Amino acid sequence: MSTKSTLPLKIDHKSYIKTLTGDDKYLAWKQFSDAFWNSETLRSGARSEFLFRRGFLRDKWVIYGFDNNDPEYFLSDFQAAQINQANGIYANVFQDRMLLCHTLAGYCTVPEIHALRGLDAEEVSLTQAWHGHRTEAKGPAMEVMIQPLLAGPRGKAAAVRIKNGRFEGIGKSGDMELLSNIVRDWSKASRVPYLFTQNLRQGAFMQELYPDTQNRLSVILGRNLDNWDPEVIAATMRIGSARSGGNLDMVQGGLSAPVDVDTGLLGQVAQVDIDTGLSFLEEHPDTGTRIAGMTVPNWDEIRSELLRIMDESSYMRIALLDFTILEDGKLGLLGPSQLDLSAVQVHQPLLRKKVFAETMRKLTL
Amino acid sequence: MSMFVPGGVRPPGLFPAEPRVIYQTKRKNLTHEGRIGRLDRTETLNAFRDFSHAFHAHRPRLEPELGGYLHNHGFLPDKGALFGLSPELIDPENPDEHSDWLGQYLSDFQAAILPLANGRYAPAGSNRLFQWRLQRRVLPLAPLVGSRQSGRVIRHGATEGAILSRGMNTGREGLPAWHDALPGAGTGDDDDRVYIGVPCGQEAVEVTRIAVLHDPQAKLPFVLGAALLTGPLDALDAPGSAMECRRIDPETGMAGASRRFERGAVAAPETVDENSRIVPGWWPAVTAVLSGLRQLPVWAVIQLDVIDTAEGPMVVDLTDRLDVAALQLDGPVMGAEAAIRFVKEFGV
Repeated sequence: MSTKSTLPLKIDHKSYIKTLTGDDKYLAWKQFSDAFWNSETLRSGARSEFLFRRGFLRDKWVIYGFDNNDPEYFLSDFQAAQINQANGIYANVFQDRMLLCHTLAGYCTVPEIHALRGLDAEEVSLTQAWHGHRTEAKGPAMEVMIQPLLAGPRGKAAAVRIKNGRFEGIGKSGDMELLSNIVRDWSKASRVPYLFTQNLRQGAFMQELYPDTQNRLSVILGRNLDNWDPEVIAATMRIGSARSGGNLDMVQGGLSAPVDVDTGLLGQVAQVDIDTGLSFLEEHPDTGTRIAGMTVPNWDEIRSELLRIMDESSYMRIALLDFTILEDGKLGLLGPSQLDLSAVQVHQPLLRKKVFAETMRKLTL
Repeated sequence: MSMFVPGGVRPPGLFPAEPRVIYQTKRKNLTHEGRIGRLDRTETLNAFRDFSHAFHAHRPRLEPELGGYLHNHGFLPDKGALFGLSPELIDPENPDEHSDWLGQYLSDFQAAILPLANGRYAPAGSNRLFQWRLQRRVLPLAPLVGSRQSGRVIRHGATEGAILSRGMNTGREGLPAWHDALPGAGTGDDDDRVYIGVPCGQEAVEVTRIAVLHDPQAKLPFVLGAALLTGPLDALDAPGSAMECRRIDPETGMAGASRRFERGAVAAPETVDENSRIVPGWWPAVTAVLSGLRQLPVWAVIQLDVIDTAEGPMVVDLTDRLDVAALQLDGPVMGAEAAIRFVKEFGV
């Protein structure tokens, strides 16, 4: 029995690929193709070919359970990689951490920007505290995130602690000059500018989900393109585990729980194991904390704040953002979402969300 | 503790965060001819076409000789009379000298391509709503009370005093208009707009217009030029509106003689008042603008309109399109060393 004949194939990805033009699309296609052929699972067969033709990476057969679920409603990996193009010329506004921190400063707690390293350039201090650490080897203890200025596949993120002009973290310790040199090398290797920001500390609720990682509330904001009304399309709590470490990727062991957009109620936790498949749990597999049934504190307030962010950024069509919830119950910005849409789609395929599906259809993405 | 200037402690080299060269070719010849010779990208060629169309749409037509001279140096027809430019100034013995002198003026065409120096940030930089949201922590902005996009009016804050609406995008903006309250959805024109609360109404006010460029050597923003405009806020850029304008010396904060001119009209400016005077609130305005821009080192080109209020300077407009006429009524602005470095760095 051929897989193709039993599954709907309404979008012919192969012919869709032929219609693509422009450097961005070609690059996206190359990246997808590379990623597809480099993955280890599902090496051959009709399923593999089906996935390739539909723009899904090979691990998605297991993650999305295509034995039981209709792939028609799932946003493909190839489409997901282009989701930011929905914002047209404003695509980099929410992808650039410096712009994002400044534009969201009026709505939620944003991390303070300590310094910036431009491409092929010196490091620039942007706060008095950072300047003090650098020039006089003194200043308050602080926790710092080092991340590429632009969200995306290039570069890496690291957290360090800094006190009196010395840093500790990334498996090393030393003075600020050493840290600066390390980040300069990262910047040169991956050709991206780097940003040094405050590392926001998660509040008790986020801590309870799993204490050893920075857990993330990932939201997808969109709007109805007919009347421009903003909408929270999906909210997902991404939770670490002993297997995942700091990387919350589903395939690496990260967990994901859906947040009911109306009530803030957390659903069952999804866990992926490439060998055994997708499973849903009531409790955290390592700590036993009961997660399904928990409610995000202050959800009404958080939800209206998210809607206000989207409404007042009326030039944006889609925004994918990661937040934490701070000790005071308010949103704290972590940055642009890492585009692991499987954490969202294991609970509900994105193209079943009317506003989102309409947006993708209208923009032919 | 050593003195701290955000972004300016040591030569940062932050800027450009990425290369922002507009032309690939060498940038030795800084005259208009050199600039036109370097046009090799869609955006710049498009800007040249738009400039050329705007020039030819002007009525009444200029004398062919004067028209050709202005067009071929990147100026719209009104700039001839306004700046006193004429082909008769060319010394037949030494035409290059004239060309070099004329190159010190910011031409209309050059102003149209300057925003490209904002690089990756250029598209967002021409959106006023984005500018307002981005810079509210670093600049003393007038309150944004609302915006309208795709027919939906969005309330951003409380309404107090008069509301001035402006086009959302500086590239294709409609005329500014006054409102008593936020208009309902679907009223008025269909453009995307921003609604800004201003402490003055339709009466004439003094507006300090400050053009800021990035100095590639000092790695810091500097004031390219400034002008003190007197007129209602909605009429400062409207075609056909008359206003008084004084050039401000950025070094001293002194405003020069007052001249009256009409936007777009082919007429020499009329001198109203020969006396120079101090610009009220100049230093607080410049300090607020420059320190704000240092904290957010994003723009290579930006122009700010600032009014002086009891609480200090208030920015009432932000744009990436420099005001060619008002800044240069009393002479060119692009001759300064930092401006030349800018042109060499970015190729505009």
